[in-house]
Amino acid sequence: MTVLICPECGAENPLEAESCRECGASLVNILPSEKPGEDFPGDEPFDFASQDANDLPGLLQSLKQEDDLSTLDETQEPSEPDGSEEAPSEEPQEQDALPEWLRRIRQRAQEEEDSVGEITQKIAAAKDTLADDKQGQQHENFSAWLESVQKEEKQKSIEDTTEVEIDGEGDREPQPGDEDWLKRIRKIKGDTFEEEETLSPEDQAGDSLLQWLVALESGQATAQEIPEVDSDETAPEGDTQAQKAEGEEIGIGDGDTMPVSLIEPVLDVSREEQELADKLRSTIADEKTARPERTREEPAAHWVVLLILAVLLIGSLSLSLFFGNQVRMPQGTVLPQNEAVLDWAEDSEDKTAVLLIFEYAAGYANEVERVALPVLQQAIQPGTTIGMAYSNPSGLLLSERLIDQVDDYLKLTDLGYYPTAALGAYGLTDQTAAGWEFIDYPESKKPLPEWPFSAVVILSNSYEGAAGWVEQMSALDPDRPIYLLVTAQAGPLLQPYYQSGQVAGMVSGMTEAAVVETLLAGEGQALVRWRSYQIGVLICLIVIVIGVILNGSELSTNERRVRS
Amino acid sequence: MNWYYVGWGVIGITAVLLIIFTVKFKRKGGYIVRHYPAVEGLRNATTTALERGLSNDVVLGDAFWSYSYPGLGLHSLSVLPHLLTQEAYASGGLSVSGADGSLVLFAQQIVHQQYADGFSAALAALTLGPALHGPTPSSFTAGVLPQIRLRSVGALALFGNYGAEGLLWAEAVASRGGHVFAGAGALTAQAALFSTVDDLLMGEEIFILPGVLSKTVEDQAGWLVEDVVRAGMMLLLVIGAMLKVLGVL
Amino acid sequence: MKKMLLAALTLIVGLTVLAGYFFRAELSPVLTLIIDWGILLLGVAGLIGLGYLVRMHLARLFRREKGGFYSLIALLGFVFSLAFGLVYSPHHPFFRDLILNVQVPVEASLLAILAVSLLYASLRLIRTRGWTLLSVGFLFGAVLSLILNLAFFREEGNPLLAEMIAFLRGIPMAGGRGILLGMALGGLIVGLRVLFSINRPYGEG
Repeated sequence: MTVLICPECGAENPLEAESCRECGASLVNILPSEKPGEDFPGDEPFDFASQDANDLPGLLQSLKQEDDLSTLDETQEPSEPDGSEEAPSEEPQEQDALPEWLRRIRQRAQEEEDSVGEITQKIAAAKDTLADDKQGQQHENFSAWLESVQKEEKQKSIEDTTEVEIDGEGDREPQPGDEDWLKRIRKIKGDTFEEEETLSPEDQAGDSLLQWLVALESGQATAQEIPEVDSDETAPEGDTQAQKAEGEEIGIGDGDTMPVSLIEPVLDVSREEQELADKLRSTIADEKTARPERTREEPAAHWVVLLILAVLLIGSLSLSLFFGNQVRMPQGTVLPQNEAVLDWAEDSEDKTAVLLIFEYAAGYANEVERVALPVLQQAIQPGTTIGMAYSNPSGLLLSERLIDQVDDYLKLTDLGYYPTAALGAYGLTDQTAAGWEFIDYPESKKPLPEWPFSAVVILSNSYEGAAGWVEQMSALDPDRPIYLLVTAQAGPLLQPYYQSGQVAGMVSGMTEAAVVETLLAGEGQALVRWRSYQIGVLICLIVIVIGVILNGSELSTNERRVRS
Repeated sequence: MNWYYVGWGVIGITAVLLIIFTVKFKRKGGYIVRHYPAVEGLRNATTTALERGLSNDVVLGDAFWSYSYPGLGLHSLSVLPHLLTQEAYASGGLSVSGADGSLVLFAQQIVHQQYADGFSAALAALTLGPALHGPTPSSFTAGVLPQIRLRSVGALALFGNYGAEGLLWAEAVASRGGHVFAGAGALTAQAALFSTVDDLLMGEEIFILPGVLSKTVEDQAGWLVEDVVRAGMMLLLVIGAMLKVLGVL
Repeated sequence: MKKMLLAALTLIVGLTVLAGYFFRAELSPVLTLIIDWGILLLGVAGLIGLGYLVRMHLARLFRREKGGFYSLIALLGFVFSLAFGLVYSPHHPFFRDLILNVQVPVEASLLAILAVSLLYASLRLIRTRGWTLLSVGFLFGAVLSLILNLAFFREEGNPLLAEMIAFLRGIPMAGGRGILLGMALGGLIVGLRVLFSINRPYGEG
């Protein structure tokens, strides 16, 4: 059965598929291949050696595979300029095209059946099977294999084949299958090989491959390195070429010669494997490149600059907290979202119960407290019930620290810690619904204060945390007003929630905190810190401008990497 | 008109498209596999670190469940199996950490799953498994910075949900010649890392990462749906803005 | 079979929570149960995570690795806080002051280091990124936000200026919202894929 093999992942796909069903890669230009285990297209598998072929050693199997490939190639290019597509069907041409060593093997197989090795016999058996077979397709395939051998030989005759062959053989690791079939041959042949060693080199030539393999397996012979052909020392140029043209015989041991098959091993490599191999090669090449270990450019300068910046920033901010003139309220009108918070804080309407959500980390406690305290001190009156929920592990401690500064006479209800904001919002707002209940469902929760709270106030240092509470609560309980008291970092991204009406009011960062504090309680701590904040912002601006001026003409890191 | 229903509509359409394209691509077809130099940079850096005997550090972020970026925690766990290679185990130089108990727990489960899928359990002894340096972003930073200084980190890959503190981790590695890849993070993290990290994936790019590391039709279906829905949302935004200008909305 | 069961469970729980938005009154007890379980599981996972933390420091200590001394301090602090919190209560003023007076300065110091690192990064922005459209846009947005945060402009009685400032404030946010929309979309697809069990990141990778 013919299938399309994906070049990306190697998956089998039906012939009509346009892309791989596993990875989706395009199969438009991919030629059909045989499904593993089925050698040739068509209803009947091409098994020219039938069962005997199963015992063929790896070398012959690879020759057989080469045949498959060449058949495939011919299918792709049916007409070649030299008309070689007709050659495989003609026996005389086929004989002429055979390499010398193969011709001798076959000759010996026909003349003296017992004197040849099992491999040769199998080749002869395969040949007989092929001759008996009436199917032209099968015949063509076998002939095509022989044709490919011829082509390969001609091509290789131009090149220095010896090096390639030795490399190929030397690199090949012994396979378990190799050992088995060699052992079986040795068992069958017994001492025949030893007798044959006494034969003349011409007689030995046909079996030299087998003998060499056996000798290699038994450790008597090794694949010795072939010296580089030096035309001056060994033979004239013309002789060397002639020797190559007729198929080289490489000496293995004393009196042994090894015929060069001249066929490179077929390696089926997918594109992904090729990419990985290329990457490994490039990595190795990169490793071998003589260059210093990659380190940060100018590490000393790096630390010096960092130190200067740290001293500059922290020093300026610290000094500005203790020195300087009386600051004034930040210029500009009060933002609408601030006004909404001011209105809620100053309004005397019902604020018997307020839910406070603590969603800030300890590191931001000072900023959030500066933002929240003026509002909460104004809004929350003695006797107000405060529900407290946290989605930060330190929330409990931070909430108590804040509430202590607001008022001492509040009714506090601890609603507990929720690992995430969304679950907390869902869990809290879902308390009222009671369409039906589980029988015997254990009641493990604390009794909640009477819901609804008149307002929900979220104190947060991050957009993400606040957004979780806002989106869930406004979706599940859209009528409940939500106010945000957040850091400058979180404010800008939360503004759309105010614009969409999901949030009733918001104060963010030191600038807005200073405005609100001034309007609610007069000038205080927030104003002093706002001045420090201004200085910090100014330093940042100056540093960015200096950076642009100093590095404006520099290449980027990626550009430097590309150039280097 | 309730705008929540518009949101549900988008979710519904996305779900239907995802199912359709996944089924379709499983039969035949596919979608364009994009090339990201940053991902190549990550691959090269991890390989180089492995060859040099340096550590490959992977940070999974500080939250498994993040409401604003709901997919980030899952995303970091999706990427993790692609980094758990035999070579990484064998070298013993892979360090996975997170700032959230559930993240680390799931990461541990993934590591064990990899063993079950063919890795040798004996290799487990080479590493302590995913580490929790601290249960909050700040405590994690305080815990991981000394570790970076004590170990020779060749490549640091940041995934999942984390904030601007990621800059401190990145600086600690980069200042010692290590390579930093940042594949996700909150907006603040992206802003902070933009000026420091060369190999940075921003926005929706981060969700493409598992598919780039290992191509599957499911990933490609997801990419196609993302592109289709994104185009639709852009169209809706333009139409909405025009209607707003005309006073209809 | 096990995988099918897990996939079915994921789907049922996910769809039930989604359906809860539309049929809240009817499904409320089930949702409460699921949310409670979710909170409980996340809390337990957090505890297990703490176990990992302790194990890591113990291993470092017993293997006498570099930095083992710091691990010892961390473990002592952990044991002391745990014991004190259990014996007394987290509401105890001494406990609160003890924890917060360590935690707040430490975290604030980290933020200060972060601020300095950010400053240094902004100094090298062009060196790292070069003059690209993205880097110029980033630079422009950062400078604009900083200038507006200085609050030097007097908007009172000048509606045109107020409009202009509001518009300028919105420019960097527009980019941020765009990124958020893209991420929400990516997150939605990741969530749906998990919901439909197309992939199970924590199960089989």
